[in-house]
Amino acid sequence: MDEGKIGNVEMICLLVNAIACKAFFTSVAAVVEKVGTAGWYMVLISDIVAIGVFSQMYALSKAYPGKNLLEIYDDIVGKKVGKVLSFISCIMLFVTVSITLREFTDATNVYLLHESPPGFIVGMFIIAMVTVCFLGIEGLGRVAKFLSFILLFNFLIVMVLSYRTFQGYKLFPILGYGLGNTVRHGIMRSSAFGEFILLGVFAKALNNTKDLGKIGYKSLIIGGLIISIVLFSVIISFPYYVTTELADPLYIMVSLIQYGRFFQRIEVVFIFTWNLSTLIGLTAIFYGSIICYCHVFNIKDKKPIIISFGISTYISTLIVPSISIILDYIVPIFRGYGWIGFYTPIFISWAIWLLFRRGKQTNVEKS
Amino acid sequence: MQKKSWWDIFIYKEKTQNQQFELLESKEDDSNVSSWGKHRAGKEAYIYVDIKRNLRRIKEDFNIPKNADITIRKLKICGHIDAFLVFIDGLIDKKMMNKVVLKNLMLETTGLDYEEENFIDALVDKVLNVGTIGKSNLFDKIENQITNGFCALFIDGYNKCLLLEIKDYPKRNIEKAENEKTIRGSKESFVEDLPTNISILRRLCKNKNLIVEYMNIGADNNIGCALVYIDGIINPEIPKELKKRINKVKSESILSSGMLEQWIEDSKWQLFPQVLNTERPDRAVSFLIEGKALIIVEGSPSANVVPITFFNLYHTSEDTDLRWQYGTFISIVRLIGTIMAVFLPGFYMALVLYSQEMISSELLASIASAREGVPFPTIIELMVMEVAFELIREASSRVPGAIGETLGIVGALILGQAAVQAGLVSPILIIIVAASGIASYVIPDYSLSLAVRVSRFFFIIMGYMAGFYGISIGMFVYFAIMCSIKSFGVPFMAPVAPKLRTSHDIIAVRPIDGMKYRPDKMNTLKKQKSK
Repeated sequence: MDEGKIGNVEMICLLVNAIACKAFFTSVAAVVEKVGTAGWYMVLISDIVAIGVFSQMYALSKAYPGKNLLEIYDDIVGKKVGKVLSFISCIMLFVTVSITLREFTDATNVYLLHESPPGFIVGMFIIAMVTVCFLGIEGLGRVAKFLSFILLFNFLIVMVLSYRTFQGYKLFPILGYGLGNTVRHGIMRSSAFGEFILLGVFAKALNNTKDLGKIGYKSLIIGGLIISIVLFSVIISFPYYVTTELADPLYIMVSLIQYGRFFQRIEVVFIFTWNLSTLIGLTAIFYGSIICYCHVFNIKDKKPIIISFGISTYISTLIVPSISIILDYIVPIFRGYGWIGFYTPIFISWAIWLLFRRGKQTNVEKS
Repeated sequence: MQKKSWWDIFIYKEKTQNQQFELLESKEDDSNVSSWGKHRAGKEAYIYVDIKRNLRRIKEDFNIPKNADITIRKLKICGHIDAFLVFIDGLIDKKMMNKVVLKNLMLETTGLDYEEENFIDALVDKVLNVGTIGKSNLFDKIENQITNGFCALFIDGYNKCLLLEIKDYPKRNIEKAENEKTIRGSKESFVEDLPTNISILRRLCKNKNLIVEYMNIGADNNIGCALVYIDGIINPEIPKELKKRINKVKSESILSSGMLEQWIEDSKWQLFPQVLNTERPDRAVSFLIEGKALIIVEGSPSANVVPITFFNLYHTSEDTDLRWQYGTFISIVRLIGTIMAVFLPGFYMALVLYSQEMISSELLASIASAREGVPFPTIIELMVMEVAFELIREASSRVPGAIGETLGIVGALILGQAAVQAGLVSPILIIIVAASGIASYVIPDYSLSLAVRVSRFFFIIMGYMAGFYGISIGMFVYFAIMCSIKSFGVPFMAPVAPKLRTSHDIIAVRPIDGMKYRPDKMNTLKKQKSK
């Protein structure tokens, strides 16, 4: 299968969608529940933590130019341990797809397709993901770029049109449930940005791996800003105790837009933003998990794996019987402790490289 | 004659054999179907020194005397040397044949020395006053040229044949472009005759680097085609790849540019065209200047252009002919039309079936009251109307001009009105179908228009299945496929995805002095087209 090459903007679009699509679902309510009105800057704290970890990954990619993150693991810790680290990344990405897709399915079920069974919604979504994965990273990157600017425009329009519901006083108390609490949750929930590892996984698809740092920092900053804007606008639209009760506060906020008798209920614009952003983001994560899996088991051709991965995703998405279990147990655990799975392989590799390999590399370069 | 009597009906008579023709599979295999194929199996066949063997071979190859229009004219040159001319009656200029070729060969060769080493050259230099004369010693080549309208001269004792270009056959005059009409642009269009088309291009593009390469397409039919490009601008890999693909065509039935297009395109499974077809020479020249290549097939009144992008299919020559403000305006109108043509019926389906709350109360009441008496579900209603619209469109394009227009009006007005009055469809649906149908007419390229018409049905089904969710799923897959298409290595959605430097005429057109650069995606040798 032809992997293809993508440009920097295309990669940024993929990463931003993968990171920011979570803002459309239950995460907003969950964040407000944990930190109250401080949610909008808690996200920025998470983002800073993620940028710190990304810097470590960037250091590794600079030390091993032209290689992707999985090959770097193999080089630093050896093939066997490297495969284990790659497998951890594969599982983390796979679980991210399943959980976010389940959140998306339930939100769609509640707000859009009331009578459709979740299996139908998930099935259609997975068929789209699988089809686009067959086109390779090139097709995926290009469609991400093609749609992202339209989505960003829609998003901004919706935000601007919602200004009538904004009430500045709802932002107070500005420290939410306390600064310490906000910082602690900010650090813990930094896994919300863990999708940046996709950049390492897709590194070889870039025209120039030297731009990896630029792409990563830009993606994390843009993704963080989008989530922060969403949280900010939701917090100033609803009292925080109401926000915690809403499955999809952003959708509710958009449905309140009303300008005259005809220009109201324009959720349709938002539905496209919500759906397409999730489709782009989750397809990128899904494709990333396939690449990791193929690397672990030395599979050259991804084609046969794509469909089986699609079926596995379908099953894992629907395996949890109800949305309450997802919201009360799985999502909080995954968001709270997901950083362990996302960051541990990078930490281990970076530490070993720093302690044992860096000196050797410097000696080789000098000689 | 025996007289028939009434008791004859009781007498048994053997039935007369049924004379009805039935086409059964031939017992012969297809290796000998082509008379040329027999000789082609081995090495290339050279002509003989002995004229009798050459004559026998030609007769055999052209199935003479079964083949009635192949003419063999025997004659003697220098008074005593046997020679013969072979040509196809109807493809040559008879006046030229009688007054120049035959007359000169029979009367003006008396002074020539037959024993002379360069006798053939002397014939060309002194006797045959014909513009183009070629020489060949290969039967294949000679026979191809005879079918192209050349006259072949075989002379006894020489293993070379002279090919005299005295072509003349009836052809259509240059007329107005039928399908790509413009208000201000040039009115002339390509015709079926290849040399005429090339002459039009030469007239419009007075560039000494304009290269015209002639090639034959197909296995046996040997239809000629011309590969046209501007040397020094085009990326040299494009003509190379184009020639490779044309040479790979093994079909015997390439009769038009449309058929060739399907043979040389990158992917045969994509819905969108990867080769542009234009009947306008001025548009073809503008593509040449951008660094693209043209393929003009003999017998087709149009040129194929490669490589192309979606935006080449979307634009007309009017966009640049007009001032930038007007060009931008019609370009935006066309974009709205394209979006409506693809998505409008699907959106209607999604709104009516799944998201009624998004329609304002007044409009919802209007739609509901209009649909009250309709016995069919919305999907059937919409599909029936869409199919009816496609039927009217197809029928009106197949019948002669004036009746076609009448048919369109009768179909659209009377049938639509009658369907509403009979309560079979709602008036709002007629508006939706008509609006999307009219919108699809703004798409200038016929192939793209067909792709859009097919896509519309896909989005109707997606809208029916899952409302806006289904449409967004469809959009994602649809655009991803569009973004992954390539035409001769150029991404179909360039310069948008991937983003490339361009002359800023994707949708909004810049003032003409701002359009300095050739499209970046073409990787041309000269990047700038104006300073």
